[in-house]
Amino acid sequence: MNIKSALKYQIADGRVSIPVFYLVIFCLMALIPISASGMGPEDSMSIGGFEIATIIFLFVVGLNSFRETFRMMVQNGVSRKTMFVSFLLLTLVLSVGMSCINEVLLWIGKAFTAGKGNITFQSVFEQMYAPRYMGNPDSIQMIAEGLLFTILACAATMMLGYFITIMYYRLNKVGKIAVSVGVPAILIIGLPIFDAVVTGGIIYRALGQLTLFAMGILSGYNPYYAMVSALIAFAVLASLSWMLARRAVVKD
Amino acid sequence: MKGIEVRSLDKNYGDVRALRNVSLTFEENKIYGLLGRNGAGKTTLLNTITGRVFPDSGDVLVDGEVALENDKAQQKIFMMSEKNFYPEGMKVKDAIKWTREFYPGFDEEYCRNLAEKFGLNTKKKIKSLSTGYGSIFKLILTLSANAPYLFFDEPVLGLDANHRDMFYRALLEKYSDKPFTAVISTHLIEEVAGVIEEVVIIKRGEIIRNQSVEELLETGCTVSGTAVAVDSAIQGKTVLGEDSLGGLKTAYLAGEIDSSTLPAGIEIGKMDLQKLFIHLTNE
Repeated sequence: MNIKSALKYQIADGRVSIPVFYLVIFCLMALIPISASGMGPEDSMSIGGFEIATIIFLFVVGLNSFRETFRMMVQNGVSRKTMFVSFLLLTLVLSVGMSCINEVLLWIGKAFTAGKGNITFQSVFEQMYAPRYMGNPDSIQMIAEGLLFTILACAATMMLGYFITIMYYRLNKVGKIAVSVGVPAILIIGLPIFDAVVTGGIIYRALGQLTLFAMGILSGYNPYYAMVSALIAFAVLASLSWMLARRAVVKD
Repeated sequence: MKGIEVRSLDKNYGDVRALRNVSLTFEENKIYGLLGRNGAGKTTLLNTITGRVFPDSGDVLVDGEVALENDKAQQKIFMMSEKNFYPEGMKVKDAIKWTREFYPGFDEEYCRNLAEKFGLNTKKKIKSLSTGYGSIFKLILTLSANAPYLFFDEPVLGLDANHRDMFYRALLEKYSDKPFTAVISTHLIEEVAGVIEEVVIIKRGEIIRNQSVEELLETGCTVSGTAVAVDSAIQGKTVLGEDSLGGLKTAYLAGEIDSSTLPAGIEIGKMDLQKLFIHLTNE
């Protein structure tokens, strides 16, 4: 009962932002015919990447899903466990729901641009794993794998946003400053300098290889590697978030 | 067992011991006054019972069930906090809607009637409410929640005399209609003295009194009369306080006094809760 109410509350929280997001996407899609009408025979256009916008949107949703919700839940006698479980369900609902909408938008976009050779409408997934579907584009397998890939990427990113916001909530003032300054300083200044001067670029090369491996690019463009990577990231971030959320207290 | 049972609660904030081995029971269908000076630990006690903060040690049971992180137990309590826990951008009517969602026993009709009586505009955003109306908004939700245990932390903060009176009346009407347990944490002791049946006094995190108001007031008395007569009557007694007006005087004494030994013109009266509180909680 409480999980249902808590989930309802969290879904209702996005009742304005989600329609606004899709309104923007819809407006962008509506611009396609206008842009296409001004194209000459030599021109070409590639459209896509809406799932990246969705992933960023859900990251922001995750970032905004703790402080106010926690206070509201505590006020209404909802335990941290119930609140956390309802957030996991929210992640599932939004990731699946928005990925499906993306798939429909992709289908509409492709339908509108079909036969127009100089306009390609593609998802980021299709662009990344193109060699896997060579000669068999728009197959059921590609749609299903693309959908699964987007769902898991959305869920992992949303959980990353949630983890960051809880971490900041739990940190004291000094901790907040240390993380806000220290992490960017290490990633943007410290690590590149250290890698260039001390390790001769090994770290960045290794990170690049690790990314390609995690995305399945090194394994014959296999998206299941990326899906498993996203699932592991989701599980790790969810575990860390729960460890922080379970002892969170109300702050004035 | 029905009621809220607090067992050996300890809570520290750094070096400050907010609660020290607090044990008490809030019984079913009684109205409690939780009294204490600023920083005595009243809010910490209520926050610990409702799971807003964690105790360092000790337990809280609600109707025999562990309360910490227990939805079922926590749904039996509704706490009105001094601070606002609702999203600032939320409208009053939306807060009502969501309270009804989380508390199935919530009486929406009663809530709307009370809002109308108090003149609370439910279309307003919570953050735009004045201090007084912010308190009224939370009071109305608490009274309408229909939970068996209602906590009021500084319920009349910013309320004018009329609204305070309306609140006490609404509380008593609701209570006589269908009894519940109310815990009122407040500084305005004189005002709640006529409302509460039981009193819990907390001093530097420790419970120093936990008894019925009547029993507590029987631990002292007032002696009134001319200043000269009162002064002679109270010699050798423990005087908790004195009020003088012109040639008349009222002295507040701890313990009982034998009326047969008093000079003529002296009246013995009931102890004043506030005076007793000041005496008990003075450093």
